Amino acid sequence: MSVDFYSTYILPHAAILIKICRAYTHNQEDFEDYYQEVCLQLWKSRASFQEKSSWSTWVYRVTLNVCLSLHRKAKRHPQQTGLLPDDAVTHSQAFHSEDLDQLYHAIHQLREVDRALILLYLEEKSHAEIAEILGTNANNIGVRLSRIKERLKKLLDGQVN
Amino acid sequence: MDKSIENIWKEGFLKVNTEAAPRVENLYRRKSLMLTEKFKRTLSIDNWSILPLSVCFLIGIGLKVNWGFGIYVFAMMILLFFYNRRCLKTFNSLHIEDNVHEYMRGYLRSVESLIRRISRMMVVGFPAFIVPAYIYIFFVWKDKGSVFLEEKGWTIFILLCLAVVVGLSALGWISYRVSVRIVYGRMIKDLRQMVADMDDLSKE
Repeated sequence: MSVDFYSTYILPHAAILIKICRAYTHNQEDFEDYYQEVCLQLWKSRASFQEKSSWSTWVYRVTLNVCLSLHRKAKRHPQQTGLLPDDAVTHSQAFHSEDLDQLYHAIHQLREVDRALILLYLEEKSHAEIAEILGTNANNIGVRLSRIKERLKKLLDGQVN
Repeated sequence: MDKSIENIWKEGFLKVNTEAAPRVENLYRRKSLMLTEKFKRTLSIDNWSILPLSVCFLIGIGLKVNWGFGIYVFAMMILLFFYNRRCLKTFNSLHIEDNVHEYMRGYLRSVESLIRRISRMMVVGFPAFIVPAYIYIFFVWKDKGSVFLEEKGWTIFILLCLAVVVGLSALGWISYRVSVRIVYGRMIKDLRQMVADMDDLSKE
């Protein structure tokens, strides 16, 4: 991967990668691995990008797909990837914030697909964009989001484990 | 919690910039290590499984056929175990610390060379393992060799032996290749894919 590709096509969208990778990992080492894997897949899939959607939509899609697949793989073989349990969140990023840590802690307790949905919602994506990125139907996204937000709120308020 | 999740998200990421991104370096390092460790583990388990099998063969053949023949099979299997062990040691000379790309290329080369060597060994070894045993059973244990030679003659006997040797060589080669494909096929494919990706990465 050339430095040019990284700095032109990936670095401007690094925040997306960081936010999503963090939602699917539980420690700094995994986070960095996921980030690198996403960069690699973006580089490898650059030829498949057909400009039907924006590059940032493509980045979201690739990042989510990579994170979901790595996360599923890690759940199948936890001993090989060093995946820690959900409560062992020990990220040490530069953007440390207690509220944000709590929110991530709550997000980690959601189902994989619900995590993707709420991340895209928090990124202020429209229902149509969310549907496009996740390759799903836009019809019931609103209802699903309401349920997820309700659960997140309860998790943050400590009403559910 | 007083703040809405939307506000926590926005405020939490206000300061996010490209500096927060991890450095992309040494891609594939962990992935490579995981794959090569899995490879080593499987190879080692595969090799160690020869030991109990050889004991089973020794006792089984010793009790059912002949102890001399049992010891012969046992010795052959033990030889195979030590040969594999020696081959596996070549993997220890590779160190990922030097360079992940070089390490993986070296690893793939070692794996391919190991498969080639054992394939060749199967071509020679399989008949070398079976034919003497068969001749022993035919001539000594069952004592039918002299009758056969009297009836058919040496030419037929030698031609028959050659056909058996060729057949067994082919069988040894095919069975080894099939077993490699079943046990290591996926890992070898991943290994090749990874090396190909790294080659591409280094070109740009």
